[in-house]
Amino acid sequence: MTVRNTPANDEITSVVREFIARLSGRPDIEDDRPLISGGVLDSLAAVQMVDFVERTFQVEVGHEDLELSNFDSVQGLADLITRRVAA
Amino acid sequence: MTPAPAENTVKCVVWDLDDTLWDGTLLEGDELRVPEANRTLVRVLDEHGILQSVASRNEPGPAGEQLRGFGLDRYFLHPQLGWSAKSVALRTLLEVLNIGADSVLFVDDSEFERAEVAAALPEVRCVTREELHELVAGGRVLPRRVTADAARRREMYQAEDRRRGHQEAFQGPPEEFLSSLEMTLRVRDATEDDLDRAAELTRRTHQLNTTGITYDRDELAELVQDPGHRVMVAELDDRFGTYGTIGLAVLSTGPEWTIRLLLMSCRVMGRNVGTALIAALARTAAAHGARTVAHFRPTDRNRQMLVTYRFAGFAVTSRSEDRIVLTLPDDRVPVVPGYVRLVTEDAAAAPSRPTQEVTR
Repeated sequence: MTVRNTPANDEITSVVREFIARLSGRPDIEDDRPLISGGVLDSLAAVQMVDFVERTFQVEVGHEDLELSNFDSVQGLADLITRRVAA
Repeated sequence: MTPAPAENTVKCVVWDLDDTLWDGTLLEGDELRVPEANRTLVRVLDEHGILQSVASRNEPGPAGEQLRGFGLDRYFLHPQLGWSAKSVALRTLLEVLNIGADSVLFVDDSEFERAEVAAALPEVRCVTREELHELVAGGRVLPRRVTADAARRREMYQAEDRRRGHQEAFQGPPEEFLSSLEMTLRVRDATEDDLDRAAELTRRTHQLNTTGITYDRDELAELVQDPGHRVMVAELDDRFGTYGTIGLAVLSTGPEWTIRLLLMSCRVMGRNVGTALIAALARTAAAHGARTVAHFRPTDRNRQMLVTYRFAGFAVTSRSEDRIVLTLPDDRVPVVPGYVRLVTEDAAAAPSRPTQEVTR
């Protein structure tokens, strides 16, 4: 898999990748693969993602963060966490 | 006649077979006969939404065959046929049916069996079949009002069992699974007949509930009559059968339609039909020239509903200590997911006709 040059911290991205692999039961999901809109995960998974972010990174996910784009890919989630951790 | 208690609480009747449901003993090769009164009672209990099962010490094969022969097998959920203690059978039933011991009537001719169950599960009421008939005749068992959902409760359990079997065997991503169910969501104005179920939903639903407002039957009846409000219910069916009435929305109407309460039963958890329900409401509002607004009151359990509004395109327009107000931007039309067919019936639309839409 090619690792893209992204604003997200590498360590965060790999933690997210591992979490999404567990959640979906699929170890091979590309970072930009649409998860919810692409039917890999259902939208209940978004709530699990929010809980995961808040628990693992000790940050709060606000209602303004609840955009589909923030939860629809490994990339989007890693970017969201990176922004929140930096804030 | 003794006055009936305020609320009859029997949810399930568990029958012994030999010399209880039928006359005679299967193992002894008796000629078995189901008294007409029992046959009628089984049907009446079923029509009133009271679940029934069987706990009998018998070989599962022949006993099941006998029930089929009498044409009664479909009435009994998860029959417990075998050699274990009846209290064990009862415990199994409490678990698979997810009901409390105090809502179960156990009917057995044997004093020994009744005592064994009573000792292990003191909350289960243990009676003879004569006592059962008396209790029913005395108004102590049947509910006074039967909602449409209650009348098909047994069928819904059976549909859910088939559905669960399908789900456990299904290999593939969630969306393919949802497509495989062939779901139809029907959204329509509530009528008089829906109000008991609707009120019950407001009391029982916590997780998929946007504001937690509870309404009793009378309050809902007033809102149904009030031109400034709409009360809408949603029913879900799939290829395995019906889920019953699983959704409720209470809106105030005007230049803006405000969804004051939106809830869905946990029966449809994971079915992802919230977006379709919101789409039905927003499209109905749009058909009346109104913008859609929604209230949300966060609890520690209902974040899923905020996610559903946000993913459907609603933006937060104001928030206070305990309430968030969301508005659907004028250019946003919530998309109905491809795995559910949406049927919206708008009683106030002129002329009144259902708009059937195939998913887009």
